[in-house]
Amino acid sequence: MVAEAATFGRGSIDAALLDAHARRDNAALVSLYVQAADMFEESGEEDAACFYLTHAYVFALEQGLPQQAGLHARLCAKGRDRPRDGQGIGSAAPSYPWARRPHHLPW
Amino acid sequence: MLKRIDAALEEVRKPVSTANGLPNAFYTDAATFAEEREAVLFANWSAIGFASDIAGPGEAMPIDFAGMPLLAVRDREGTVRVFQNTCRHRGMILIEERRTITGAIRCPYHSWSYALDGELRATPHVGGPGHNMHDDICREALGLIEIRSHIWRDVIFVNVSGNAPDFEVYAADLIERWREFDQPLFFGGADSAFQLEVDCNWKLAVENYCESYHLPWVHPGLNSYSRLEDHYHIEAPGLYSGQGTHVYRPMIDDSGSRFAEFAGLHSRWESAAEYIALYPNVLFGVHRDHAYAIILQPVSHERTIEHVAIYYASADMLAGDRAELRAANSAMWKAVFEEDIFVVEGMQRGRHGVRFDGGRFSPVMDGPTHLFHVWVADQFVAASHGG
Repeated sequence: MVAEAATFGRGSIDAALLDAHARRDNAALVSLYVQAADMFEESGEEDAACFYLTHAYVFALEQGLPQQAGLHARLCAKGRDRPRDGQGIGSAAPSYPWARRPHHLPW
Repeated sequence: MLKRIDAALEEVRKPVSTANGLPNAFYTDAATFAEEREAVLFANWSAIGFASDIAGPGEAMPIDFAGMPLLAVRDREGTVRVFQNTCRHRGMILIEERRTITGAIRCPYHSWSYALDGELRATPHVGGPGHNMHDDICREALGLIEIRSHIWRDVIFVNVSGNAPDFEVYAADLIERWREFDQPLFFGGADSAFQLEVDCNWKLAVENYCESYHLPWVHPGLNSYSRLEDHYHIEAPGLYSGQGTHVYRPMIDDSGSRFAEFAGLHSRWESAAEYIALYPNVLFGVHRDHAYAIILQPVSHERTIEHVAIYYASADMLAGDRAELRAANSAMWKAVFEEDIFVVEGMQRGRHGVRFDGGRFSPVMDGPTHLFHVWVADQFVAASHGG
């Protein structure tokens, strides 16, 4: 959780990312990748910024973190990802040929 | 298919009194097992796992189904789906161990990410670093490949071919036969589940389960209260077969505690129980106070894992005050099923006798088993004719 509160310079953020990866601290990873993206965005390095923003988004998506929507929106605004309908993961209607039959417990 | 196999299958399809069993190759040959995977397991509704193993929202479990990697997932609305556990990008296995997906299923290779309903949600860097889309990558067309599935009695069935009748049609006869037992089942939990690994072809476990003929010799503990003559055949050609007993006795502990009973059962279930193999690969048992399912997982042509789960009639039976009784019930069934190991493994080894002709059936005692042989033969014949 330390990584979420700290702000790193460009030189030290790589080490912090590696540490967060090693600890499998996904919340920290999202925060750190956003910090990296922000740094590169401020310096006008758009491709690098979007690279890190993508990582932040994917880890937030995987974990179901609330930041995912905002991160995705930033990427879409930059033309680096496409919007989708619906309000969150798992809500889109499936498009498969057989009828969906809910299987609820106990059933 | 070789002509001699065709001829051998015709011998299987003769009446029970003169039929031979399936040829050795159906138990000892990897190539025949590969054909069987398509003709028998994929073409029909086969059991792959228990829905209670992914009880909570987001729970996912990988399943190896005769070498095909599958992924069973329960979404946040409670719907269970089965997908190929294969990323649509480069074919990477997505999930290696059972776990809870809190957001999306992320491929560990290039992080393509899928929603719990299979929708492809992210394709990071697919158009270059920081470019997450490409005109030629259509996410709508690249969702997880869903496999047709159905849940009955907590068992997850799949039809890989997509061509079988709806499950409710496929199993209509058995569903109707056990209509009284169509009520909530409460999985007993960790103390009510176990696995047995057996060095035999999965079909031998079905064949043994179907018949009561072996009970006096292999399960002598039954002789005192469930004699051979107390059992009856259950025969539904082309659908299922098995055996029933007229003398089931529920388990009661020293303090008189017993399991709650399923509500509204006909009086015959006071002392009856039935044990049925629903073709191809699941074995069910029903009693007035508990039920079970055994899923036969074909690992190879000569190795099978039996997955056993026991269920009760009410949630009260899952409480701590019934723990000892549940454990005793599980231990009893485990002992019974373990008694069968030497015969199924012995038949497997016997099948390597190259002069063995597939064997013969007792015209009176082996009807249910013969019906299963005929059904398997019919699947192969249908597959060879493009059916």
